[in-house]
Amino acid sequence: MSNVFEIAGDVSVFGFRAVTSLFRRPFEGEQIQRQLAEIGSKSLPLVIASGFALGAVLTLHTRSTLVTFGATAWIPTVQALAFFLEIGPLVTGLLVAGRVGSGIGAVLSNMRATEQIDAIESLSIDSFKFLVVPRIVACTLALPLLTLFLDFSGLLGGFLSEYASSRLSFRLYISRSFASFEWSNFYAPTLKTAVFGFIIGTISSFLGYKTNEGAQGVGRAATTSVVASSLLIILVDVFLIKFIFFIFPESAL
Amino acid sequence: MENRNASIGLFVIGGLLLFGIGMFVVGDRHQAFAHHTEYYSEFVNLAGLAKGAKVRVAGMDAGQVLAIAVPNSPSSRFRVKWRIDARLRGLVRSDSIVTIGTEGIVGGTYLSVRPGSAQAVEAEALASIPSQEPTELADLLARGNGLLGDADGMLKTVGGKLSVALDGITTTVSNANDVVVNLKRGHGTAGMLLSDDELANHIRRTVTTATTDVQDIVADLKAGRGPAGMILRDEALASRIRETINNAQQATADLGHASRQADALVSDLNSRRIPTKAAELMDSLNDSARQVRQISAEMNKPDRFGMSPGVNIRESLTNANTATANLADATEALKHNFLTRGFFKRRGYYNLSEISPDQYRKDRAFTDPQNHRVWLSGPELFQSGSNGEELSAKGIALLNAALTENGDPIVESPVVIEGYWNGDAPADQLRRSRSRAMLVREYLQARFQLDPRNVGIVPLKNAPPKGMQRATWDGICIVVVRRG
Repeated sequence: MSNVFEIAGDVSVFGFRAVTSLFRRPFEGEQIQRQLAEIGSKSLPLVIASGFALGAVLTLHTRSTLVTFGATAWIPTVQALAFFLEIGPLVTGLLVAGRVGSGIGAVLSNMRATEQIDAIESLSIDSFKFLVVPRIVACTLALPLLTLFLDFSGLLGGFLSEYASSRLSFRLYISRSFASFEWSNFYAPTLKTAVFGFIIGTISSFLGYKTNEGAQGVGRAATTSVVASSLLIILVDVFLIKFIFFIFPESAL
Repeated sequence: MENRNASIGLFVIGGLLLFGIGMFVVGDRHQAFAHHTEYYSEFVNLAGLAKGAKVRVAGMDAGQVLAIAVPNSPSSRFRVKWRIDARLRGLVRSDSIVTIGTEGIVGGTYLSVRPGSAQAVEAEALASIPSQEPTELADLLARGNGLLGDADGMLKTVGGKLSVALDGITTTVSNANDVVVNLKRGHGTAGMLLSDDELANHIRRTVTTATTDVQDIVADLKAGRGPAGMILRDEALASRIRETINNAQQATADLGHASRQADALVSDLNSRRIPTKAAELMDSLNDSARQVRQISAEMNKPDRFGMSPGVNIRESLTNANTATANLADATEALKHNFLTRGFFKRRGYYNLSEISPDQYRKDRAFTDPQNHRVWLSGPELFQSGSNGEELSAKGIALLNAALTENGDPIVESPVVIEGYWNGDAPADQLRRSRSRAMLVREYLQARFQLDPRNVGIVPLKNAPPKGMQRATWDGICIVVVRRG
C-alpha cells in the first residue's frame, strides 16, 4: 500500500516538475512540434474512423430505442449530447492512451535502457525538459483537438446513419443536434480532455522515464502506461464531471 | 520536416475550425450573436424551470432564461429574467401572457410567451410581463386518470347497449337478406311486381289510361265544364263566394260585438249582485220547500182514528160523488116537477156534451132564427200546418171581426161554435168538424177571455140545422144564443 502512495507521490512530483519546467527556457518548441505531429496528426485517422463508426452505431442503437417511444426527432439531440459530453472525450482519451501512451512509455524506457537519456544528459541537455515536457504538452494540446475531430466525425457518422433510415436533411439534423446545447455542454467536456492528455503524457512519460529494466522493462512500461492511463482517465473523468456540474450547473442534464 | 509541419498545421487548423464551428452552432442556438431584449416575469411555481431554459414566443425559439431570483417570503414570487431576440420584440405586448410549458412527458420545461393583442402597446425592455401559473403534469395525469375511469365505465355501458343493438342489426340484416332472396325468386306481392312482365304491361296500360283521363279532366276544367270547371271559371260564382265570405266576416264581427255585449251584461249582472240575490232566492225557495215538506208531513200524519190522509181523501171523494149523483137526481126531479119545470124551461138547462148532433139540429133553443149566426168558410179560416189544420192569419182576422161585430152581449151570452167539414168519409166528417170547432173555441177563449161555461162546441159534420138556407157547409158557424 505504501508503494502505491509512493508511486502517486512520485507521479505528482513528476507532473508538477513538468508544469514548472514548461515555463522555463528553453521552451523546446521543435520537440513540441515533433510530438504534436506524432500524437495529434498521426492519431487523426484512428480517431476519425473510430468516431465515425461509433456515431453510426450509436445512432442505430438510439433509433431502435427512441422509435419505440415515437421520439425519433430526439435522435440528433441524443447523438450530439452523448458524443460531446462523454463519448467523444472518453473514447479519444482511451484511444490516445492506447496508441500514444504505450508509445511514449516504450520509447522513453527504451532510451533509458539504451542509456540514450544518459547521453543526452552528458551533453548538458535537460533530458526531462527535452523528452518529457514536450510529450506532456503535446498530449495536453492534442487531446482537445482530437476530441473535436472525434465528436464531429461521430456526428457525421450519425447523420449518415440517420439519413439512410429517414432521409433527414443535414441542416435539420445539425439544428436538432444542438437544440438543447448549453455553452458548458460544448467547451467544458472538450477542454477537460486536456486533463486527459496531461494524464496520458505524465503517466506514460513517468513510467518510461523512470523504468530502467532493459527490454522486459520496456514492454512492462508500455503496457503499464496504457493500463494506468486508461484507468486514471476514467477515474478522473468522474471527478471532472462533478467539477463541471459544480461550475456549470445548467450543463447537468 | 515540411510534411510534419503540414500535418501539424492541418491538425491544429482542423481542430480549431471544428471548435469554431461548435462555438458558432451552439452560439447560434443561444443567439449569442444577436441583439436581445430582456424582460421579467413572476411565478409562484417554477415547475422545474431552470436558468438557461428556452423561451418561446408564439411557439418559436426566441431566447432563454437568464436568471431566477428566489423569493424571500411565501408572499413573494420567483422573479424570472428572460431575454428574446430583438426581432421578436414586436410580438411581446403589455397584455402578453407568460406561462411555463413542458416539452412532452420526457421533455424539459420552457417559458412560453403568448403574443399580445394588436391594440396593446409594445412592452418596454425590462418590463414585467403578466404571467400565468403552470399546470403540473401530476395534476394533468390525475385528471387524465379520472377521465379514463369515466371513459372505462361509459365504454362498458355503451358496450352492453351496442351488443344488444348489434344483435338487432344482425337479425334485421338476416331478415332483409331473406326478403331480397324472396324478391329475386318472385315470391310475394313485391316479388311479383318485380318479376311479372304481364302485370307490368297491365300497370303500364292502366297508367296510360289514367294519364289520358287526367288530361281530359284538365281540359274540361280549363274549358269550364262541370261543377269544378265552373268553380274555376265562373266569375259570377266567384263574386258570390266572395260576398259569402264577406257576410261570414260580418257575421263574425257581429258575433264579436254580441260577445262583448254578453261580457258587459255579465259584468252588469255581477255589479248588481244578481248571483248573490239569486242565491238568496234559492235559499228562500229552499226554506219554502222545507216548510212545504213539513206541512206535507203534517198532512200525511194519520188522524185521531188512525186513518191516513189518502184514505180520508178517497172516502171524501166517494162521498162527494154520491152527493153529486143524488143532487143530479134531485135536479132532474126538479126539472120535471110541475112547480119548477117552468123555470128550467125559461132558463134552459142544456149540456152540449150530452146532446147529439141530431138533437142539436132539432132543438128550438139553437135553431131559433133570433139567434145571431156568423158563417165562416173553412178555406178562409184554416190552413194546413205541421199538426193538421190551424187558423190562418185571414181566419184570425175574420174571427176578430165577427166577435167584435156582436159587441158586449157576446161576453154574457152563451156561444155555440158549430163545426163543419164537407168531406166524403162520415168518420172524418165528425172528427174534422169537431177539431175545427175546438180550434176556434180555444182562440176565442184566449183572445176575448170568454167564460168557459158559456162557450160550447158541437160537431155537425157537413149538415147545418134546417131552416138555415144551407144544405151543407164547410167551415164553422158561431151561434150567439139568445137568452129567453
